Amino acid sequence: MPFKTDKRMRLTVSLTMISVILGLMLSMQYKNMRVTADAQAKLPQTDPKAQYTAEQLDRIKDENKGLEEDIEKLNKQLHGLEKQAGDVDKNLAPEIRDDLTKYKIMAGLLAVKGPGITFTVDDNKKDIPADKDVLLYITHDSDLRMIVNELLIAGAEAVSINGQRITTTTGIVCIGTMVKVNNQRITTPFVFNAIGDPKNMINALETRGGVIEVLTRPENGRYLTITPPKQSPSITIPGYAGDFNGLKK
Amino acid sequence: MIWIPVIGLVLGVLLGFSFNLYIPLQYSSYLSIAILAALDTVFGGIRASLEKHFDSSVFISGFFFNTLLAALLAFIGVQLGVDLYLAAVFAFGVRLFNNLASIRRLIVNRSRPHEKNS
Repeated sequence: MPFKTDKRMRLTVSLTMISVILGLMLSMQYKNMRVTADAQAKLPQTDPKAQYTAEQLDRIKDENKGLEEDIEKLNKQLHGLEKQAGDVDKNLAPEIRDDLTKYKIMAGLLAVKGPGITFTVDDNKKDIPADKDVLLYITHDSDLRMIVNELLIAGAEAVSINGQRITTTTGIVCIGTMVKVNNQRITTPFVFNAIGDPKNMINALETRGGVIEVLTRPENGRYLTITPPKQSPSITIPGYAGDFNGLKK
Repeated sequence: MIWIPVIGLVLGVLLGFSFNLYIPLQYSSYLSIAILAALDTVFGGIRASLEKHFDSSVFISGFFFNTLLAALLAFIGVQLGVDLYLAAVFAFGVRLFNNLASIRRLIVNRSRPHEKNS
């Protein structure tokens, strides 16, 4: 009998001891799980939609990259073909070749380089007062048309907005938050490059009552941000790569 | 008598919650394996006591040895990139169910002799 109680005692003591340790481990693990669950619960609140959008953005960026590479490849091809054509022309007549180059520049097909000006047109980023119309603070397609018109009148030989060459068939049209130029969507800030007589162009833009005043002066009702036109001895404006409203090049 | 280990378990849980003891999160998986091993050992002990061949030194050494071994195995598995903890989960899980089944059978058999004798 004493032996049996002794044995039972030892059983109980060891089982109790182990139980305490097991309980300790269990509670610690439970607390750990709670911590991780809390951390996970906090994360996804902002996640799924943003993640989806981010993924889409990544995909579109990849797509864009691929398309840009395509453009580059096709441009190279085009240059090669033009060179071949030029070689053929060489055999024909130098006047015709010169004419061709001239017409290409006039049409905006060739990249051109020369003295000119550059400036940036952007929306007003400051807080807009509640009683004012937001439309007066953002850049519109009509503003861009006005500026292009002014530049061309002031003797610009080539003009580009965000790298889009203005050609004979270039339209500038609003498509919601963006502007379509040469069928390409561009958005703020709009970087203008113009080749021509820099002084003439700057004078035309900055003259009293000129386009910059009209678009930036509050007393004229518009609040755009336009950087002062900067003169540059050498500006490169890319050629136009699309077709002319269905006309094949 | 039977309730003392249960009270011990509750005491352990209370201790764990009342003291601000935390195992670093990266060791959480080792702890879970260790818990599985410990559970297995405890049920093994209960089964042995029901089968009346309980040995406290075997029980206690088995508890610590199994627990540490399971954690060590999981650790080595992580170092080697082999999911060794799955082996531990499998082995201890099977043993846990075996032990529980044995305990159930023993209890059922124990309540039966009355009917047989009468």
